[in-house]
Amino acid sequence: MRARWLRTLALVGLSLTASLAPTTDPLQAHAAPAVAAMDPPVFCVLRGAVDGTSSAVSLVTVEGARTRVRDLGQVDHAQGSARRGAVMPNTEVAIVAVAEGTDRRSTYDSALFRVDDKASRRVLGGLAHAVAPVVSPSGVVLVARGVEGREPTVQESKRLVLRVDALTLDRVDLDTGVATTVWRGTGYQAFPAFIAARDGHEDLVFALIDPSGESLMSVEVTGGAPRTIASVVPFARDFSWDRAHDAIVFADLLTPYSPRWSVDTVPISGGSIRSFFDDLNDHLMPYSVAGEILISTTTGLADTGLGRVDESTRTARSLGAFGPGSDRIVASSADARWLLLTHTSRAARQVAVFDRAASRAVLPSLPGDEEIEPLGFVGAAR
Amino acid sequence: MTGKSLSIALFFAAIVAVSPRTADAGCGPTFCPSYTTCRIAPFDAVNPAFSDLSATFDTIAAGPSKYGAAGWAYSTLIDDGVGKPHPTTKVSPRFPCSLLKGISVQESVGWHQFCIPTGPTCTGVSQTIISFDCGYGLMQVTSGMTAGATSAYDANRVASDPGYNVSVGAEILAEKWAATPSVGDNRVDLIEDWYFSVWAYNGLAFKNNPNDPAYPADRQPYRDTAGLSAGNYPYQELIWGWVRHPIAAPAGGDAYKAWPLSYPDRASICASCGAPTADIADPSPTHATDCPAGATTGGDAGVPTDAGAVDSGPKHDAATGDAIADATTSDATTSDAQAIDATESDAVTGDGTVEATGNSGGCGCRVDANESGKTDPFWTVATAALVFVTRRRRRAGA
Repeated sequence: MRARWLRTLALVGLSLTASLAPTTDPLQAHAAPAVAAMDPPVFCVLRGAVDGTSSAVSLVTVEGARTRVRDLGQVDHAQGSARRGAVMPNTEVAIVAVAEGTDRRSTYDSALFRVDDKASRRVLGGLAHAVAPVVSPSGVVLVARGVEGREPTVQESKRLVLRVDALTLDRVDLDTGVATTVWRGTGYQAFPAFIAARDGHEDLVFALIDPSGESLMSVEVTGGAPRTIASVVPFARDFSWDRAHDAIVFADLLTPYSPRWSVDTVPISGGSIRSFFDDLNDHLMPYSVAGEILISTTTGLADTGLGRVDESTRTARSLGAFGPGSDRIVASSADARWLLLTHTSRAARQVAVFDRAASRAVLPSLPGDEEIEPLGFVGAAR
Repeated sequence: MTGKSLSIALFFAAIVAVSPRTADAGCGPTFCPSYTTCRIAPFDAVNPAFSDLSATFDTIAAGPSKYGAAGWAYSTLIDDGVGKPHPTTKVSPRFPCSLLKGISVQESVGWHQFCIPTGPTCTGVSQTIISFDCGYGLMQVTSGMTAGATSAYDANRVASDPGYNVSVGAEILAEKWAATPSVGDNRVDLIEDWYFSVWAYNGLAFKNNPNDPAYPADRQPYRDTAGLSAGNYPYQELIWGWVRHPIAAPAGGDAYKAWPLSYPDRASICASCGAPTADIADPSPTHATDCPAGATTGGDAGVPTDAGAVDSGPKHDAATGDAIADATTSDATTSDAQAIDATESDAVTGDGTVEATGNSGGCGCRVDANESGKTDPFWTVATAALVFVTRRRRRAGA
């Protein structure tokens, strides 16, 4: 205990001297295996005031105890807009989706921007509220758009039947702003999950939610016939690609109206849904990386953060990486070593990096009074 | 007072100080559309004082049977109770005043019936706030307000009279009460029971579904310390946030009473299950409104007492053991000192309403309890250091 205090004080002293906050969490240092010390790859964030009307697109470099932030550009948006985006593979170009209108009732209130160190340019509008664009390894960009339908009748409203919209998933040419529809349908939402790339094909995996239920579907990014992968309990969320098994990993309710949430997987080629793990925790936020599934764990009502699922025992063990709070992984590096995530406690939400090889947590020193949305690592896509 | 609260307070002080007939035809300081393409032209007037507006909300919340000529005299009745166990009774609508106040904060960017426009034309004259889709005033009433439309209510008063505007907005909310699933025993005096009505006030769209995968599953409640920007929440969670954390009054303090509202278990909210009923259980605890009945002056400006809280299970907003919270903020704990324990039987609140909440509770947002029983010294010291460095930098920047 004394050693931990000394280590802590030494670390804080160093950070004060350098006028910088520490970047390395000592909690896991003792457990670090023999992996060469190394800093995480550069990553991209959107940052701005919570109630702000603009956000900076910044590249973040962590070098030992130092964090360097370089702004690429800025995007103006509606006050308090959700900020979403992605990094174009092998470039320092970000695509950003933010609300731009003042219509507080509209679902399709957002626009896509392309941002690099030379310019921030609006590409197209009509994007679904708070839904992130998805990018393929080859640089194909897909977004969700739509047109609002009629308001439900009283009889429908009583059963919580919501407004049904005309929905599209569109491939976007970032240079011209031209959108090409690769899927069209009706429902509540067509939520683009990720793009699975293999054998020269790139398939968009998406969730279609409508009054009758929810389906996981896929369609080639160049268009073509959509394919239904599986029908799921209509609460599916937090999708990631299990590359090793070419499967979708996601969170869902165990059964309709169950209080228990589940971490499920289903092959993209189709087949039965398999549950790895279930819990009362409604923010499991699973993420598949290099053959393992990481989730945000809880003990009772307390968040215990990043943890690993053991499929054989249907248990999860907290890695204790960032202390109390929940951890939501948003991206992994091309070599699957680094994870970019948000760590949320009741007091703060921070952007963090986890080194899988060394089981080491890194907390970059970023402004604490801004909302910072991590977009992804700069480099090749995974 | 937060920076945002301060800026809102300063803004309202500025509004009050400006004459509606100022000679400066410039743009207002804060977002304030005033479109002239709608049914009724903007009405020139200065926004009432906060205390007067608070009293107006209290008056209208009592419903048309009480407020008389102060608002729209409609005769709609709504159901109170759904037999769990309170038998369904037709009543003249009445509303939790804090809910009307919270909705108006969200709808009119603070409490604005009138403000100096920021566009499309900058007249420099304080006038009715009218959005591009013809949303008028404090409650952003759109129904019947487009050019050429008709309405059962007096459209001129929607534009010119703050109380009347709130009464029409409240009537629309009552319509939504009648048209949406019930929460718990569907009691009009329980603030949490208005969850679906508030959702529908903004439209029964999927973007207001708390299960929309576009919103982070681990989002903290809106306007809580670690809360996110508004775009990360469905509409009703924004309103819950404004009720939990009121805007500041120009004279200091909260502009209205804060309620630590609970969120329903989002696993119970299914818009795609095809069930014959979408009714859900009450969250825990629920809170019974204590608006002054038919008040004509601000009645809830006093110290919040949470007297109406009904506790029926483990609290999700209990004091946290989170070390960071302890080190940086006093906003991380919620006092529920006068909550009534109703774990074994129905509870009767002071105004005679009955609540039965059998579920263990849940929330659409994460409200953690007892996040950590152990405090790691690193976080405590490191956070204190970070605060120190940040403050020093700010001073240096200044």
